[in-house]
Amino acid sequence: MKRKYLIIAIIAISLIFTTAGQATIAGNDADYPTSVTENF
Amino acid sequence: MQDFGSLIRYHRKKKGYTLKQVSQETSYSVSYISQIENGRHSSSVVVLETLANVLEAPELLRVEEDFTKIDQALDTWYQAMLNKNLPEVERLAEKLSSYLPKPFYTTLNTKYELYHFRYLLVTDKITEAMHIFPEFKEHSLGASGLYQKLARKIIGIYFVKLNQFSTALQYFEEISTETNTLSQEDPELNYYLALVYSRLEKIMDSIESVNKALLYYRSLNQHNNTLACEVLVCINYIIAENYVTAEKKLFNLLEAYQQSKPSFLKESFITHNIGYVSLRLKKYDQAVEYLKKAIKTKTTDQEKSSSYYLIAETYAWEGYAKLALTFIDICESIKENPKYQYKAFILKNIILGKTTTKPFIEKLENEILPYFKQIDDQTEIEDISKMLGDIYYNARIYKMAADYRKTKKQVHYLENLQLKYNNEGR
Repeated sequence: MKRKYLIIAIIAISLIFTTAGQATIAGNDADYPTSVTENF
Repeated sequence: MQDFGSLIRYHRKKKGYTLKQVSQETSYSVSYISQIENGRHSSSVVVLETLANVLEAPELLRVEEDFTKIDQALDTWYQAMLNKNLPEVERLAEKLSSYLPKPFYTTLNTKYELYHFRYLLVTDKITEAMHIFPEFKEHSLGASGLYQKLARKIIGIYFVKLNQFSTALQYFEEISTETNTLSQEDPELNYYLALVYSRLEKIMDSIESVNKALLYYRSLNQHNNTLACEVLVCINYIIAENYVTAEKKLFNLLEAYQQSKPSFLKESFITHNIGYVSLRLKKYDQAVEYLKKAIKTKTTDQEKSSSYYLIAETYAWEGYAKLALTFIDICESIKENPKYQYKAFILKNIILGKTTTKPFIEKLENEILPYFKQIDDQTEIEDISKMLGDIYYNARIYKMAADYRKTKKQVHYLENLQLKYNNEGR
């Protein structure tokens, strides 16, 4: 019985790590307006 | 007026007079003349005439008039920059460069130096700005009071232009943390603070600052500036991954924009970001449509490359590898924007499945990551480090994987934790 849970746990952990191992592209690619008026 | 005082001193020394001799000739006390020379005492017309006579320097009488004229011209110049009236900006730049810098006009020279640097930023003369920056920084940060604050703001904007947001933030925060209320009333400073916070993904800080700026601009019905702030609000929604709200707000903005056609806010700031949010919402056709619209209203290749890149990314997500690669080629050919050259390179290798090859990893580690570290783009540094961590993890090189995966945020948290622990220990 214990062995069964151990195997399930190992599979679960390895699943978590495989999804983390994918190459991702994110970053911030928004265009920001860079001119506003100040206060005199 | 300190400038005027140094001019009197200049003429006195030219005549070879001591303070005592001038005092004897004019019947003013030595300390009074000394105070005038040091700018601690403003002189009346009568005093001026007497001094001009004794020192045989009639130009002293014209100086005050010249000074006021140049000072006004400088302010008109600065206002033209803020209003993006570029022909007027260039005209005044040429005119003023024939008057300034001038010996003895110390405060006017300081003002001119500040405005001139801002002029280089407004007119996108970045190479020239970079060239004179070290000298400018040394001079301007030594200036007094208001000028020093303005200097910090202008230097901050310079670093925004260079995409070095952490450095920019340092300069902006130095002004905003000072107790003087004047800095809090400058909506431009608040806008830039909001922009930089947003770039560094400090969204709560960004919201607070942009709201201050918005309040000001709305109350004065400044449409251009209000729209710019609203765009920033939408970008914050995107970064906070609240895409549906961002999309709705951006479409409202586009409508408002088309009704009023503001003079200096480009439509692409709205259309590009609609494209960006559409991509995140997986509305691929809409993304391509608006990104192409953005490209049409952008004028330089450097500006266009962010939109080209997002079109490439959209096609990649859709699975159109060939189309994606066409736009990647365009991005890689635009040398003026290395950020998107590198991002396109990474995307290309993901599409071609070459992320585990040696040349790719080497370029990522030896060229791309150092580039983003050099320009201090924290978001990209984190993403690329994470990617390298994943690559090494998959290759089962766990030590390297761990090193890359613990970049930035985790390290920061750890430092904070230790700090807290130490404080409690006391």
